[in-house]
Amino acid sequence: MQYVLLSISGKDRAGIVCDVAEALLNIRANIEDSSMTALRGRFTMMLIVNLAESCPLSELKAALAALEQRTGLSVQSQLLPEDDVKHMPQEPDCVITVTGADKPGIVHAVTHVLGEAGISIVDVSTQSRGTEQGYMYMMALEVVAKDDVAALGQKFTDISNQLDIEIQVHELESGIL
Amino acid sequence: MRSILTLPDYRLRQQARKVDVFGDALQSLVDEMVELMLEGAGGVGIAAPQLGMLQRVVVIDCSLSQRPCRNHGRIVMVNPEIIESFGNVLGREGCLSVPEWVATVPRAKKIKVHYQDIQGKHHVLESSAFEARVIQHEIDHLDGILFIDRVLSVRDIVRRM
Ligand SMILES: [Zn+2]
Repeated sequence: MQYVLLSISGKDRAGIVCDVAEALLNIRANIEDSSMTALRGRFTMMLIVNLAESCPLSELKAALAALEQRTGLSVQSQLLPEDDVKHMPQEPDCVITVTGADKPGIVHAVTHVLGEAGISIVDVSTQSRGTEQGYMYMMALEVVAKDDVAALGQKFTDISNQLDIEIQVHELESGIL
Repeated sequence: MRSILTLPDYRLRQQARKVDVFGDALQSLVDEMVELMLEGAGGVGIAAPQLGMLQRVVVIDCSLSQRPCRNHGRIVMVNPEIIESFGNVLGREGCLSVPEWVATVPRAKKIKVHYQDIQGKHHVLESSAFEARVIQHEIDHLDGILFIDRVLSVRDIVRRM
């Protein structure tokens, strides 16, 4: 089994996902996990695709080159080691939300605290949004905090004061209901 | 013995009917629900539609939770209805009817729920935290709603901020 990571982006318009899906269908590549989203005026896609046995890597490359030509999308591909594909991210046990006036350094400060504590990020999203008071910055992270959950709020006190941002830690209770 | 229906079984998407006969049939349905709830590892709640029985009956038991939490033990709720809810919290939910899928779902933090017991007697229960989440999840089943309809991604969370 060959797995490839595709990173694709282009000026947003209707039909981008369909164009990409069609190019992949033509070579019988299966889209497994993906993350696709509009960031401002760019549509961005990250996909893990599984190549058909009968499809050599060169055929994929050719199909992607044709896709770029035809659509103007920017396409990059990378063969993935089997280990990366089989590995599933850990279950997050905590959501962290951050808000404050936009300024450089917020993402760095928050993730530095997490990195130091060895806390892994599963998913993160940020948005800078214009308001009457200027630009507000919003950030949400799903993390695997494990035993650090209770102490996590404390760890953010310093940067919260320094950067004048609000950081909330929401512990996630979980269960099969 | 019935088994637990899983997605995409259409019965999980149907509206359950109000119970107005309290008797042996209800008791045996509840017994069966309890048995199936205990069968699945980590199951803390079950709703009748998950067995294909479109009746407004749920059983919850948060004393079975792998992580200890405040709870009222095993409760059979017939015709449950949330009459008040407060606050909003995020939690991870999975469901016996949606195997291999766990996601972040917002729920009211505290609820007041009206229900009838297995004899038809009326009760009002106040519940909070994880148990309140379980009750909301099970009542959703009675209306054909699954937790996957309520999932929030980090992107959604940012949008709502
Ligand atoms: Zn469920």
